Amino acid sequence: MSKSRSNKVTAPSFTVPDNCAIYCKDVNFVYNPKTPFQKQALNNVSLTVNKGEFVAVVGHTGSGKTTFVQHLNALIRLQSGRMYVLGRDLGDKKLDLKALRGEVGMVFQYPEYQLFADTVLQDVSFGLKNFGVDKDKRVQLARDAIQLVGLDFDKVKDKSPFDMSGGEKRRVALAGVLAMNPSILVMDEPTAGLDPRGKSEILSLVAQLNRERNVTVVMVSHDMNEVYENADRVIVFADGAVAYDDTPRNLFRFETQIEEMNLEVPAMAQFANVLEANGITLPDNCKTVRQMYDAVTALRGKADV
Amino acid sequence: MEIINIDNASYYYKAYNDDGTVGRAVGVENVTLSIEEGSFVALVGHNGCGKSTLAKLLNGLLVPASGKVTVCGMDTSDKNNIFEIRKNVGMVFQNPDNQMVASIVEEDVAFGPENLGVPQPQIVQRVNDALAQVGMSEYAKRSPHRLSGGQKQRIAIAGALAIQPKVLVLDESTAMLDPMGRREVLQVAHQLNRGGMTVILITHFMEEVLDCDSVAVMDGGTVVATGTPMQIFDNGTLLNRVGLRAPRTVELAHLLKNAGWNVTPDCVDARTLGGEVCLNLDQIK
Repeated sequence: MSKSRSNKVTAPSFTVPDNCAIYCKDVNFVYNPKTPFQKQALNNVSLTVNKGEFVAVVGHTGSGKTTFVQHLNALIRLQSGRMYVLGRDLGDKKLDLKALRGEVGMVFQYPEYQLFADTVLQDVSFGLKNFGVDKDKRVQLARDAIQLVGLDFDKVKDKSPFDMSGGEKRRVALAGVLAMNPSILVMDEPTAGLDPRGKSEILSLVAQLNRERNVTVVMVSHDMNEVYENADRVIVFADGAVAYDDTPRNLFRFETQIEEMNLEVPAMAQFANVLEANGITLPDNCKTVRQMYDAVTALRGKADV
Repeated sequence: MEIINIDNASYYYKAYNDDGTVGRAVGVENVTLSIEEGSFVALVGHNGCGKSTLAKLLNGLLVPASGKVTVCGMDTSDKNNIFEIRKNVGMVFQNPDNQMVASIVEEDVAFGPENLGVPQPQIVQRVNDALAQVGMSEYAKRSPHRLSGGQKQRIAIAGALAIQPKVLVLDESTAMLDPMGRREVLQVAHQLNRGGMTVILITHFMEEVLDCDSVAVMDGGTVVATGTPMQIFDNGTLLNRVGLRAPRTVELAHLLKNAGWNVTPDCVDARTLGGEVCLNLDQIK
């Protein structure tokens, strides 16, 4: 299989399995090629994400994770390798960008910096307007999205988004993406800069979308505790390549390797690892403090008998 | 000795009411707080609780509408004091990219002392010292734009140090950094503190609060509680009310302790806590 897409030969036809939301094979990406600033950002990245999965993408700054997620709605065009998102070939020169971007919602870092409209309603319905949705339908979809993020539509619709608090602004920005009803939600550090309550509000909203609407979630995060508690699977990027791709519980058993990559081991994983080293097995679902407490309590119950 | 005294200070922002008239929004209201020289103080609270407003009152970026802020014995509302106050209180903000003013690291660090009219040979000395303190000497001739977030924040701290302040205010300076960047910045902050610098750390990361001498909790523009980190984290009702939570390990330790386990209630290290739980289970067997 040719790695270069510069040749005009049509790639052999390839069908992605139906349940596959994202399929990447040998994806490479170089910034500023053939200049002194040339930098290989992605190095033979191969991975798949299934529909309905909640996947966390982690790695320290410069590991290539942002470059990777920006491929998912073709903000960065594929240089080499193969990539399919919801069955669309991202290497296809005639790729329908508009349709792809309607299906893959992208929430950037600090999305509230991108608010621009006079009112919340205008801001949230901007994407829909660009997609030619008529006005009544727009208002209805915007109302749904605003309510989904936990804001009172009638109270906020005519407010300026700039008069709102940081957490509210972020939710308005998120509503703008959700109004498009994306099948895949890609988020780059959605909780950065929020207070603990704001963080858990955003995360439970995302978890709810994933659970109830089967939205596939790809979340970049530096907070290993939130990754541990929320993701079905964690993909670790290091030097532009996929270093690990595993369930959170399995991944964070590799404490030394995780710390060598300058990442942190979540508190509940550290705790569980010590218990395991002492021959005490815990159920796999002990991710939150409460779950861990219940599991440990159950252990004592057994020991008492 | 007290280095900062905030006496019943309030500050209001201009805000427009729904009918278009000009009203006011509380930045901070009736805040009273005393900060000891050489202490490491955390300022916590949810978004919009007034932490950053309070930080800006500390070096006269904002002047209280009522009440009084005194820094090193100087009243911030007296315009004649402003230069002297800003020499004593260095600030580092959240976004590393917004704080770089020059295209070479050493010029960026020199910006402060240059503005204060420090003679050139002394500036060189100050810049070298400041970069050494944050462990960035080898980057003196580099461009700040190609550094990592943590390195940029250390340069920003060096810029503050070059004015030789007595107080360093870090206003969510770790919020945009990855775990390694956060560690770098915090290490520098603690090391400066050991050298006598008063550090005020504004943060949403409760793990960072654990290592501070004291914590001031803000809510609705006012300080609602002060204490040691553990006194604050022990107060579940307070945390709940102001939308904060203790670090996960501390939460688990408290739950276990309350259920009768023999564990250190204020355990901050998950591995230690795990070991204690293992011992408990052994004893039961």
